[in-house]
Amino acid sequence: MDRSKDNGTQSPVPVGTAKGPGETPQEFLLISPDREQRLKTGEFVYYADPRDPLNRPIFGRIAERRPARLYPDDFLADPSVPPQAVADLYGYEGDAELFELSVRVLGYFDEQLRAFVNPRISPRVGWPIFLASDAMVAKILNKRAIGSVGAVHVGSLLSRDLGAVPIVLSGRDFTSTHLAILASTGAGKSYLAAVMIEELMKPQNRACVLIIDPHAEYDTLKEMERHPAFVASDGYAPVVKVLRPADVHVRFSTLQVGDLRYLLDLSDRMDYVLSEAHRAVLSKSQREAGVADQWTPDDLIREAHAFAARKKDEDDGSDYRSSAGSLEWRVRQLMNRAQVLDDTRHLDLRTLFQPGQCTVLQLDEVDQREQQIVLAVLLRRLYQARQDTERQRARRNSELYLPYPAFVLLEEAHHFAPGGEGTNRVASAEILKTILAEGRKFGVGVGLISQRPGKLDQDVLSQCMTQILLRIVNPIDQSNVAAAVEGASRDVLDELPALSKGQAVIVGASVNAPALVAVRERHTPHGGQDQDAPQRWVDYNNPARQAERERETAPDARPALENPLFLPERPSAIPKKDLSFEDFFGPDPER
Amino acid sequence: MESRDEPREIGKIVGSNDHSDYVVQVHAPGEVEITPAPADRAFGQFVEIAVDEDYRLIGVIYTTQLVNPAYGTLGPRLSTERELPVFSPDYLAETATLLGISIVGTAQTAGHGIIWNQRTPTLAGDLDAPVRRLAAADFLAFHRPTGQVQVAYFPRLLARPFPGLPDLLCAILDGLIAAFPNEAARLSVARQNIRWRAAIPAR
Repeated sequence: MDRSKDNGTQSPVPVGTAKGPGETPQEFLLISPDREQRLKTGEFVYYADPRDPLNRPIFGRIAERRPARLYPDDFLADPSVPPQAVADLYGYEGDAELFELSVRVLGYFDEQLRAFVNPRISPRVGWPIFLASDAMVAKILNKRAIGSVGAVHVGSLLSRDLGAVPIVLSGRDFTSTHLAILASTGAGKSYLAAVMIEELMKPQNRACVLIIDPHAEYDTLKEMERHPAFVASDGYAPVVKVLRPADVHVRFSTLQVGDLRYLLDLSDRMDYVLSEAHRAVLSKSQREAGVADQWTPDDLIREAHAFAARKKDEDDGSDYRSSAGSLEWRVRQLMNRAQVLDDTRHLDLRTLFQPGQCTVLQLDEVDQREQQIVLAVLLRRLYQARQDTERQRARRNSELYLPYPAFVLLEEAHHFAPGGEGTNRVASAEILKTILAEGRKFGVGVGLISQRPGKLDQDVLSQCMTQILLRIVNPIDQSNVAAAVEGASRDVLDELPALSKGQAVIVGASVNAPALVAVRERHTPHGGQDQDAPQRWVDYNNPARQAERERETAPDARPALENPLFLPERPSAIPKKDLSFEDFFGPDPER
Repeated sequence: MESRDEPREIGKIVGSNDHSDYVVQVHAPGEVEITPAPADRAFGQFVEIAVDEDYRLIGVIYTTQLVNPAYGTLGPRLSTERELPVFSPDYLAETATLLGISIVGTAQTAGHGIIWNQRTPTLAGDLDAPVRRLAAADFLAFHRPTGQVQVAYFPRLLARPFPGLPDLLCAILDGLIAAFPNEAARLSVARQNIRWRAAIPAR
């Protein structure tokens, strides 16, 4: 009988016997023959202290499994003869193998605190140890029941039958104290993230979510709008807005001096002119329009020239006119080349953020610096809006009035907050750090997804109180995760290289104890799949397809205007590498 | 009752070293009707010792010792070797062939059958109790106490090693492999391990 399925009506059968204290005060050892091989690492066991009048089960998590007694190697000499057969020959009956299991004590589960309380003493030698039933594990691990407000059902416990112990994260925790999803490429990060978004958009949550999607792989979430799993009887159905790069606009006047510096690559003198000109346009806009961001690049250029002329008139020996000229050239080049910057248009916060709406900002054709600027500007405005609204400084009709929390999911987070010396040079790093540190007070949550946790800023990573780790093979990434992830003990980290696709370790604020999870299937199709190159090559060479191509490219079949000599210039794809100044603007007249 | 060929008596118990290690004196010519041949008391030969009507000890010959009080007595004799049986018949009887026998199990008659057991016996043999060669069929039956071939007494023998032990055990296993080809695989694993340990001692 599978005791893990008992519902408490039958007295459980012990699976092992306590041997004594372990290496650390939080550990104890147990000995078990484990005939059915159920005591896997990560599995939950419990014992009861007979002195406890409430007879509360004290739970622990199996951290390590070592052999205590095995068949001699001699018995394994012939692969066709099982060692049991040799043991039978010598008249041995009974359990051959014994295992010593190291158990990390979680404690008894306090219903009031909804947390584990460690009894701080290991069980006595000989006390029976039991395997926690499915119902027990589900109750102690999950902070929420499936379907309740804040419930984010991501899958089921890996060590039990599929679906036997659902793992339900607390959406309230990770949307306020932030989330990190870390894994190697192909381990299922975006799949898991999409599962979590699906859960957030279900009728019990109706979340306000923005996804920064540099690879355009979340657009399949659009199908949530029609899927029955997301429709409520009160008429609710999630709205999924997918914004293509052409729809993404950042108004030039919302850029800060730092952003402009980051985009323009300035000399010290130009930087000085820019700072002065920027200050002047802000105060002028504030004076004339009542707000600080009603100005255009032309206004900035005018102020730069005005400043240079003023300095010349003051005749203090400095001539900034050429710097102002260079600055103008750079600003105009930037406006010509940048895809997302716009004189007047920008993304309205209220359009992006609405409860029950998931907005996917696809930035797949946008240069990385511009992606960082888009994120920096958006997060700054979001954070400002939430601060102003919470502090009742924003009027109801104001653009910065956002009376509900928002959650931003950020793919390729290491591009937006890289670690090491590069962190301060990236425009989006500072606001991300601010939100990760302070965002919970104002209801701005961030979910970071990264395949290179080693390249992610460690301060940023350590601020994410819920961490979901999928397979990580790279030892440098593993040690970075170990350093940054508070809740991950050594035994949890040891699991990382062995996880399969779609299996995850969840630690931190959204679960009561670390859990190994098999991620559930998505309701919507997955968009982040790899290309099947060999199949596409074969398809390309298919005779029927070849013939089709020949027909399409035959000279007489093409309209005269489409003669290759006169083809209109196609919009050039922006290279993905970090651009140098010259790549971005051409030769610099000042250099 | 299982059929058995007539067991030949080869000697009698004259002493013991412990509960399951007996010293047996081989019958000398003239003591019994058929003097046991050397093959009857060979190294590795299985024997039985009746404790009572229903209970027999099963043992195996693991050593042979020749006792000769005259060895080293090199003084002159009044009579020749050929005249000795006539003038001092007791002197001849002082030479003896002794066997070391390790008890490896028991056979107990129960109803119409026999329960074979490879554990240390609870009952011990008596002095002068006759020791008989174990019939071939009983050797095989003893090694299948539960229907499967078993040598559960091996660990006890291995606990008191002597130079000839690996050969003794291998001889037993060879006999079983020949008799039970179906069990040859696992018996060969055991034989191989014994040979390995004998040939390549742990360093």
